[in-house]
Amino acid sequence: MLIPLGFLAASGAAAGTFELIETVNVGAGGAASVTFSNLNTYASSYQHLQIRAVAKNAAAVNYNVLEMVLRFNGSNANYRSHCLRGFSGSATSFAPTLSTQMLVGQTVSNDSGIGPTFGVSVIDILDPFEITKNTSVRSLSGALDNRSTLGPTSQVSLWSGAWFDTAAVGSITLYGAYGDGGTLSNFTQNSRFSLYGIKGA
Amino acid sequence: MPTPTYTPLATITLSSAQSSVSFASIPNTFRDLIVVCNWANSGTASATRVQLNGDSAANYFGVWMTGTGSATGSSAEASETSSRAGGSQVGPDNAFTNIMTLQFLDANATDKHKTYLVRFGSGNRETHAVASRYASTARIQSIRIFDILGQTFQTGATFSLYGVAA
Repeated sequence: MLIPLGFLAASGAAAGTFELIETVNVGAGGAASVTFSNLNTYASSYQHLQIRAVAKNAAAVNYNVLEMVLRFNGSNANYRSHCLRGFSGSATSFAPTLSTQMLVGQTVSNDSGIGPTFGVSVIDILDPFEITKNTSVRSLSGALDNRSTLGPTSQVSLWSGAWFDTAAVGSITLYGAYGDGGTLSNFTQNSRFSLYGIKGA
Repeated sequence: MPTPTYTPLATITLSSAQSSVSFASIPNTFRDLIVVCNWANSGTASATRVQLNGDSAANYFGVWMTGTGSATGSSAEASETSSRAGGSQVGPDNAFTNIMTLQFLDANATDKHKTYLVRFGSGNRETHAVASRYASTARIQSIRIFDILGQTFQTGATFSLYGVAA
């Protein structure tokens, strides 16, 4: 089943095709990471997965827009990521050398004055339960700071990622990050991560 | 227990040309909203925009990137009275080649500004992605889509609203 980026066909999903599996709402104190686990129990139910994320990064660095990364099955190896992103004034491509996690989108940092803004991401994980394939990911993400004229790191981005491992996905862990995804950081309160399953024919 | 979602809420199919379409009285029972559009414009000098909650104050911010096949581009805007949606370099076409999705995450949250994502494509003109922020913590109750350069959406255009639970 072809899934247009981030959404199902314009005619609407057939009943029960797209299902909410779990939502994690980050509470007071924030969270070092968010994990969806025991996903192997859904292998016979779903062909693809989607994560819809609204996230703020707790990192105290002097940038307004930071990153989000993921790991499958707790593995910290064999990832690649590529990005096409638009800032004010330039559209650029980016491919971090990072292999310990996969970059999948943006978060807004928790700098003072950032206001009630969050980064948003729609992340598609295709064929996660196929043991003959490496796992591929695509994402549409965006984050804008709260400045009146928008800072230089506000951006919209398209991501592609691969986990070079044919193991079925049993868990997905998301982290805040910065430094081109190399340094992990926490999510703040009121961040939200929802996991959906998409059935095959 | 998984819950089926991605619920169709409304579909607007134009029986005559319209200068705008609106989804109003959107229920507060879904966390995310998705709008899927397919249309032709009356002309090619066009720029599709979005307003939320009938708010035409300077509360919209956005950053985008685009490619036409012969050029790429990116830019940003701040404190606008609507947000950019369909196209930036050459804009939507006057044939039914314009498709667009708008993703409003946490549309019903009252503790966040509304940051949303747009993917627009006109197979004949450009591909385009936008991240926008509506600087209001009000939940989204209405969505208006229009062309700021005075074009109309042609007969047969479809605009569908979906609710996604979370």
